[in-house]
Formats: sequence, structure tokens, C-alpha cells
Amino acid sequence: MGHPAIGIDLGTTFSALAVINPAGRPEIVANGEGERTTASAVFFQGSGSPLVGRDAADSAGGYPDRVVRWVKRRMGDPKWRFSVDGKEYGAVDISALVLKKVKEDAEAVLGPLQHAVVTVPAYFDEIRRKATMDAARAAGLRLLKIVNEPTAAAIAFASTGRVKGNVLVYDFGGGTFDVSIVNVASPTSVEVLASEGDHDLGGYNLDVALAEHYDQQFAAAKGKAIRDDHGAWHALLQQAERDKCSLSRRDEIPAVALQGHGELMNVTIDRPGFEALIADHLVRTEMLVENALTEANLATGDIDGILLVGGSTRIPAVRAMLEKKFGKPPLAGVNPDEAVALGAAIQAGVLMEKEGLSNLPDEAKAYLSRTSIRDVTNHSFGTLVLQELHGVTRLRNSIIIPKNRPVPARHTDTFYTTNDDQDCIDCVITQGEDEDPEFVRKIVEGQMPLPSGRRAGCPIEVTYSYDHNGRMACVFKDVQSGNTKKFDLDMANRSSADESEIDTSDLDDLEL
Amino acid sequence: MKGIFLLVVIVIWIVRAISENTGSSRGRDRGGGRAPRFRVRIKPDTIEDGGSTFAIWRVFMNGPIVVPRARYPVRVQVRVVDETTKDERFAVYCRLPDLADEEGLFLAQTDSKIPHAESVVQNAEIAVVPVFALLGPHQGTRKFRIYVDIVDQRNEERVFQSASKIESFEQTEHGYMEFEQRSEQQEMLIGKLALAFCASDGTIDRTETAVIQSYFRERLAAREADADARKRLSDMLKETRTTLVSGSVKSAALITETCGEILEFDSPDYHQSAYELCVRVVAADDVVDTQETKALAQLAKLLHIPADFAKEAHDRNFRLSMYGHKQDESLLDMPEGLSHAEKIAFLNREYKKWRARATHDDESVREEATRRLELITKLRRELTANQ
Repeated sequence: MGHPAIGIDLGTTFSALAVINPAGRPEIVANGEGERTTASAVFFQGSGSPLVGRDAADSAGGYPDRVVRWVKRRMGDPKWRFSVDGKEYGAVDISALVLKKVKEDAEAVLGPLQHAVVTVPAYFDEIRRKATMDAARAAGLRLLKIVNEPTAAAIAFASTGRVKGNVLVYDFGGGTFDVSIVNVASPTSVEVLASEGDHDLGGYNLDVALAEHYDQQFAAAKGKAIRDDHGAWHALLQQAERDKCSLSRRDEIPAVALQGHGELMNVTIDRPGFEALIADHLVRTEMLVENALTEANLATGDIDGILLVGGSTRIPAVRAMLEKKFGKPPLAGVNPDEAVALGAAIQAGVLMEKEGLSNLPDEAKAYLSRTSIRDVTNHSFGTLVLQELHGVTRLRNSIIIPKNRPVPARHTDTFYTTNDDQDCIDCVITQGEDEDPEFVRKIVEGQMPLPSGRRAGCPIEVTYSYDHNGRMACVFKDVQSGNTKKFDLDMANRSSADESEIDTSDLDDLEL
Repeated sequence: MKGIFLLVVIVIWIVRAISENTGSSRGRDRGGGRAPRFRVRIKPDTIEDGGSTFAIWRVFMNGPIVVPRARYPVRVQVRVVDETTKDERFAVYCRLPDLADEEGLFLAQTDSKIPHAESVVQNAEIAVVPVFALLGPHQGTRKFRIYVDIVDQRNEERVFQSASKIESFEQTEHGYMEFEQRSEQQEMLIGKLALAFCASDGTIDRTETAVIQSYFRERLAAREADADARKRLSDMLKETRTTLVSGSVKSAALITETCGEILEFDSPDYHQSAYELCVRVVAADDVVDTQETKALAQLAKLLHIPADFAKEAHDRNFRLSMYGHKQDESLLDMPEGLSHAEKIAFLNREYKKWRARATHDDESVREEATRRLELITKLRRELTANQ
């Protein structure tokens, strides 16, 4: 008997867990407090276990130095540390506590849980994905796969059978923004065409914008900024978050009570005023939508449906902007807080069925086995080569597998040695779209020796392949001598190994 | 491939030539008469490889060789020296490392055994000189002397036979002496231009000269320039500064004149280096004012700098904070005259570029990217609002 297939949306503000039910359909599992989402907040109470969830988030105003929120924005940042009670916690530790809470609450209902799919923003780079995986493992989960949030949301919505064709998934969460364009051929077939995003753009930025606006008024009246009062500033951020949500339902908040440095004052905020404060953030999302359309080679008229995901999409200005841009309203009937977890659960069910781990009835298994999901590469992968630019030979980042290429992907480029008797080449694997080497991340570096006594111009083939499981193989091959340098980058497990002079036949066997 | 092919051919020829074309001098000279002189003959030829033709010199030797005993181990050495001028001898480099000594000078050598104590070699081909791979000191028609020495394998000081022959060589590219001279000339001009550019606002301050000094320190170190070269450059910089400060030469005139001289060197790399140094000079005081922006635009025209390169150089060296409170599209080097749709596309590209840089490992890059994203967003909002 296997374990249930679960999907977890590890969000910046809230997290959610869904399971595949015996009918093969995903459903949200409420937490121990009966809530369908769990606040991604941790309160270190001093004694006893840390408190996770809404109560922890509510404690931020009173105990700003003991509560951690929005830690997802810190994922992959090795320098970030939260210090409390003489201990230090990294972003992975805090995220693991959140995951553990949702897992244990679900276990109270479902029994022991093991395998899970966890979601990440599509725009997360490899370091942030690796950090997320580490957190899942630390929480006692066996990770089936990391899935992009907009892809998961599209899977969930496609499964309802209410949409077909090109769908734009606008995922404006608490801390990150993603936009994906997916083609839904049927309820069980989803193909991602392009993804764009910004890991530093979410509801948190809107909260800060509103809180700063309040603070400016307070400072103008009282001569002191609330920001200088640590506890009051945290309380103000919470106030701003509540007001942001409130302004999605009402036109005005006539009295917002501000408190700082022992002083009080009331201010007013209305919806147009709030929308003016967040206009630049919405413009950013609009630019990313346009970039995604360009990447997918589509125009606004080619989009058949707009799917809203993430709490920030409840803001009327977001819907208005998209309706104006696409000439149609976003799709209704989707809970923006739950779609990602539901889609992740479907993906978990599909993977567990493939691996023979499923405990579902045959009908549900059959449904899941028909499900086809095709994603794209989230970043460009390249190598550093000498290229002529503006009449000058310079070191440039040459992209081998571009971003938004359907996975699995494989491509070979041929480069040439530049010097007579060149005795080696530098093999550098890069991640990023920038042509300027100063601005790309070098994932792996190595060298491949070359035979001596040859003139310049010897061909070197560079082949990159990226498979469904996020496994990337990079082979540098000296065509004349047959020398090879191979790097296996297990993006799924975020490790790398390099080998020289090894058989490359496994690369040929990849089903591409 | 070509290099390997040549090496194999050369080694085989040398060994075979000595063993097949020697005979006992006693037997040959039995009839008396004057003993033949040891001579070298050069036969210009070509070889084909990979569909290309390469010029070579085949080196032959003729004449007597006297060694202590039969089957004596000797080393045959072939060297090339530039002797175009009567009183000067210059080294000749070879681009094929296996036909060069440790310093890169041409040297073909092989070990063999002389069959008789007294032998006469007749027209023995002992080496092939890859003419296509030789590099002399200067461009133009040169006279290269090919030296052949037969020495003791165990003691190279002991020379059994020696001869040489002059051959004409056409050097189509710049010689290695000219590279140095050209590099120095180019550095002088870049230095002059940078100082003139500093002076274009009426002053040459220390932060600007520090940037110029730092640039030349790196450059001189890279080409391992000697103390004399450093002094010459330093003197030129001082002299130019004095001239500019005294007002005897106007900076604008000097910039125009120097750019003209720089363009005489047909090297985009050099032109772009000159431009980027001036960009760094502008950035030195953390302020980029309107006058400097205009001056750079003018300089880019004078030096024929591609717009893309100028933009990259600005991105690398300028921070938005250097522009003060200015917040317009010129800060992003947006080309003039774009349509509304083109402006949107330009801003989207810039947004994509700087968003990627916002996750860079270097904090200063991340901070700059964040500021740029704010500017791009503001410009886009204004553009849409005006629509």
C-alpha cells in the first residue's frame, strides 16, 4: 500500500497542501486550525517548539524580533540569517519548519505522508530551487519533483475542462511574480510555451509601498518616522497588508490608525490613492507579460483565457489592467490561493503512478496516466567563447540551450580553437541570458586538454541536453582527437560531476 | 593537422637525407684536387594541406663532414636570423611550437649518425622551413639567413661543420618590433586623448588622472613593457598635461587631432579601448553631467564607436546615481526617434536585461540593477500614460 500523492505550494505569505483523492481529483487538506492555507510565518516563542501559521504571523507586531515572514524572498541567499535565542536560522531552516507544519497537519487527516511535489516560482534560479529542495528534505519529505507554480496552476485549471487553447497564467503572489503562457490541448494535456517572472515582485512590495505612504504622512505630521520604531514598523506592515486586502473589496478606508514612538494619528486611504502607489509594480508585471508573449511568439489576440493565481490578483487594478490589455476578463471560478497546490498534487499523482507508488483505484490511475505535462527551460544555459563583436574578438556568453525551450531539449554548437598548438580549452557552463560574461552565473568550470602541434581552427563540439527530470549533460568534444569533457549536472538534485574521456553514448540514448 | 603533418615530414627527411646522401670522402677524392666546400642550398617550394598552399624552404647541404669516427652521433641544427641590415641581426620567430626553441625562435634540429669519419654529403635535404609560420622584426622585404650547423650531440659547442645562405622573405604583416612600437604609439595616443578629455571641462583632477594611471599600469604590465617604455609614456602624459593646463593647446582641438591619429590605426579594439578609458574618466568623480554626456557622444562619432559598444561601456561604468536627479530615457541610451511601439520594445528589453542582473552575486551590480528597474518602470508608466 503506497502513500497518498501530495502537492505543496510553499508560498511567500501562505502555503497550501493538496492531495489526490480516490477519484483521482486534487483537493485541499485543511491545516490543524481548519484553514485551507497556512501562513508562512514562524514565531520563536522562547520556550517550546516554534509556532507556525496564522498565530505566528499575528505575533509579528508584538514580537518583531521573534517572527519570521516572507522567508521565500531569502531563499538561496547564503548570507541571510535569522538570529533568536542564541541560535541562527537560514532560509532553508525556516522554510523546512513551514513545510513540516503543513505536512504534519495533513498527516493527522491522511496518515503518514512521504512523497511530494513542491512548487517554486518559474523564475527561481537553480540556487533557489536547490534551497527549496533542501527545505523539503529537511521537513522529512521525499521530493518527487520541483514544479513551477504557474505550470501547476495551469494543470489544475486545465483538469476542470473549462478552458482550452492558449492560457496566460498571471501568478502574482505574496513575494514573487510569474507569468506563463500555456497551451491546454485537453484537460489532461498542458504544454508550457513561455515563462517570465521576477522573484522580487509580489504582494509584499505593495504592502511596503502602502506602509511607506502612511509613514510619510506620519513623519510629516509628527516629525518622526514610524520606520525608526522597529516594532511599530512591523505592525504598520501588517496594517498595510490588511488595508490592501480591504481596498480590494471597498473604495475607501476612512480612518487608518497609525502608531509610532508612542504617538497616534489617523489617515485616510482610498482605492485610487492605493492604485497610484502600486502603479509601478503593476507596470512591471505588464512588461513581463509582454516579454512572455514575445517569447511565445504570440500576440494578445492569441490568448484564449487569462488565469489569475496568487492573492495579489484580487486587487481590482490587476484585473482591470489585464482586461484592458487582452480585451477580455480573466477566467472566473478559480481560487487563486489554491490552484498551485491542486496542480502540484496532480503532478505528484502522475509521477507516483509512473513509479508504481500509487495507492489509487484503477480509474484514478488511468486518468493520471493520461495526463501529459510539458514544461520549458526556465533559464538559458551557455558557455564562454571568443566571439567577434563590433570588429573585436571578445569573451562572450554564447547560449546553447535558450530559455523557454521545450524540455527535453538538446543542442550542439561547434566552436573552433583560436591558437596554434592550443593545449587546452576552458569549459565553462553558464546560466543566464546576458551576453556580457560579467553578468552571467558560472555553474561549472573545468578544462579539457588538447593534443599538441595543431594549428588554430580545430572544431570543438559543445552539446547540452536537458531532460524531463532536470538532468543536464554538457559534453565538450574535440572532433579530431575524440577527446571529451563531460559534465553531468543533476539539476533535480542540484549536484554536478565532471568526467574526462568517458563514453558519451548515454547522451545519444536520451529520448529527445 | 597541418602542424603535425609538417613535423612528421621534416623529421623523416632529415634522418633519411643524412644516411642516404653521404659517402666516404676518401673514396671520392682519391683522384686529388681541391676539397669541396661545405655549403647550404635553399629551394623555395610549396606544400598542399587541407586544400591550402603553404610556402616552405627546403634546406639542402653539400660538402665534407669530418667527425672523430664512423657512425659518430651528431646534431643537425637549422636556425634563421634576420640580417636585412648590415649591422643588425634580429631573431626570427616561428608560430609552430615544435619548430621553435624555448623563446619561440625558429629551430629545427635532429640527431643522426655520420656513417664515415670523413664523409661528403651530396645534396642532402636536411630540413623544411615553414615560411608561412615565420615572423620577423619588421614588415616588408627582409633578408633571412638560414644557418646550418652540424655539432657534437654530447657537446654542442663542438661544431663539425657550418654554413649559411641568405634568402629573401616577404613579411606581409607587422613585425614583432612593430607590434611593440605600435602598442607604444597607441598607448601614447590613448593617454593624450584621455587627458584632453579630462581637460574638456576646464580642469584635470586627481581622480581622473588616477583612472588613467591605473589603466596604463595594467596595460604596461600586460605587455611586460620595460622601464624605458614606462618612462616614455609617463613623460608624454606629464608633457600633455602641462600643455593643456598652460592653455597653449585647446582640449577640443587636441581631442579631434588625436582621434584622427588613432583612426589611422585600423584596429577597432584600439578605438574602443580609447573610448572606454574616456568613459571611465567621466565616471571617476561619480558624476555624469550633460556636458560630459555630449562630449562622449561626440567622441563616439569621432572614433566611429558602434552604438551597442558605447551602450555596453556606459552600462559597465556608469551608475544611475551619477546622473543626479535626472530621470529620463537618455540615461538608458535609448536611441532617438523611436516610435511608441519601438520605445516599449526597447524598455522591455532593458527590463529583461537588468532584471536578470538583479540576482547577480555582486551586491553593487544588484543595487544598480534595482535602480535601473525603477527607472525603466517609471519611463514605461509615463509612456503608457501619455498614450
